[in-house]
Amino acid sequence: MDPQLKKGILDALVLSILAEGDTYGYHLSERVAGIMELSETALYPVLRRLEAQGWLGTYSVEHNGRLRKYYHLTAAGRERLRQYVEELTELERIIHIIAKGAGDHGEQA
Amino acid sequence: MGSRLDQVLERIRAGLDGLPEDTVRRVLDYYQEYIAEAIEAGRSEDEILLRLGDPGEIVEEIRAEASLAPEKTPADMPGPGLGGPSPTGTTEKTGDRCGRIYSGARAHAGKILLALGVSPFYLLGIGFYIIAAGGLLSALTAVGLTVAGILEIAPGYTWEKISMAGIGIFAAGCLAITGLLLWVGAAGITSFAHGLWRRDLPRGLERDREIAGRKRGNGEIKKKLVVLATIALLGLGVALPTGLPLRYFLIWNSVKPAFEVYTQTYNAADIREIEVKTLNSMIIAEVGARPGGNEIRIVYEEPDWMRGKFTVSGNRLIFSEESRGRLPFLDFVARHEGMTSVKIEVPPGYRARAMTLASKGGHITIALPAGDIKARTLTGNIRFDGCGSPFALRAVVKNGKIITGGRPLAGGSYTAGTGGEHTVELESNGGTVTIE
Repeated sequence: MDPQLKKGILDALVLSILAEGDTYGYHLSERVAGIMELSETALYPVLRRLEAQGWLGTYSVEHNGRLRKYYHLTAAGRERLRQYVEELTELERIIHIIAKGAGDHGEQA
Repeated sequence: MGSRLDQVLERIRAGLDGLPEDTVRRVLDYYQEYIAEAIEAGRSEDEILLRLGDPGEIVEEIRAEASLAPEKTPADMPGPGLGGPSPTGTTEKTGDRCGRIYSGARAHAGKILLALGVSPFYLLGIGFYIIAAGGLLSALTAVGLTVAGILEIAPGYTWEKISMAGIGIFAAGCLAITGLLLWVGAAGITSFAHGLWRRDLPRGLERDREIAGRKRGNGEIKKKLVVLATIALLGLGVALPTGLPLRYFLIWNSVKPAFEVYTQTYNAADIREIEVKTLNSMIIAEVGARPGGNEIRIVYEEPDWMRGKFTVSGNRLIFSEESRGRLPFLDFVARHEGMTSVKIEVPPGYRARAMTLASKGGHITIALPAGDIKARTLTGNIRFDGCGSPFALRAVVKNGKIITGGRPLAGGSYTAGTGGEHTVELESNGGTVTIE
């Protein structure tokens, strides 16, 4: 997949998972891994970037004698997610057309 | 288990060397948390390694991101000149050196803090524990000796005994709590200093375990504190209802303790010699206020832990004060016994053949026409205001001073008058002798 496109989709995916509720790193990672193939190496920069943009915040909760870092969606993050959904809906429309074109082309071939 | 995962962390750590410490720590924290969670979820090491991906990739990714960071540096910085060194590069170098000096200084600060701050805390903490344990041991020994019949405790005083036991338990609890808190303080300083010192050393999963261990330790400390506080409060609960702690407090704070006044009167014609001995009560010998009277009066303020004894043998009057067998713990009360007194009033013109006034700790005041008088005290002061027929006077002090005519003398002894019919001897070990 195109790196830029993947980046945008990953950002949106993480934001949408967080929109369902706050969650911690491992759980988030498992969720993402269940949807698309992604190593921790790829997920960490995403989280960092989203945090740096102010779209998600973190807080720590004690768990089994250590700290578990939770991620939550900020108001700005929610707004960004809305934009992503708009953009992706638009993209979906285009993809649909592309796929259809490709399909037509394939049938013709 | 965990060693290969630790290796991954170590490789990340090594790969990120030179980046801002905060960045490195956050990366490591993230991966450590992931590993800890995955282990907890029952993942095998292989699975985790697979999910983590290539450490080299992580490092590259972070480094690439970090290299974008200098965009944040002020925009008014001069741009790179033609062929000149890039200002960004220079800044980084300076930053590196500063960072190294800073972390070196921090490590030294940590070591110094460890050496200076921790040892006194530990020593004090251990000291308090030893005092508490020693107190407990001596209390148990005392109880054991009493039960075995070797040590005799004055009969009666039931409430005093209960009260003292309660206060003892309370004090032991407080000491132990102090010791524990000092110990916790020492541990806190240790970990803080250790943190300063070791911050730059490689870390792995071990840190997680360290934190977990500390958390467990905190829980145990809380439990210990609760137990000790319960012991202390129990002691207080035993002691307070007896009402005695309040009384000790009042006595300690110089509120005059309760006492009874006893007055004995003797015909002056029958008494030729007077001997008065007290423990800590003041002795006052003076001429009675009533002129023309012919009686010797002794007024004794008896505190309830003392007993005054009046005896006459022949023409000798003896007064002596003795303890009713006060518990040793209550000895501090003795310091306030000096607030009570025994007063000897003689009729005007009366002169005893021999008068001996002795007190262990009380002050002695003599306002009589001179006669054959001997006054002796260990720690009290003596004030002599004599007049009348010629007399020889001798005053001796060991650690105190002698004051005559309002001026202190240099030496420890003083003699005045030689011939005379009478001798006055004043002797104090540690007090002041004042001669008017």
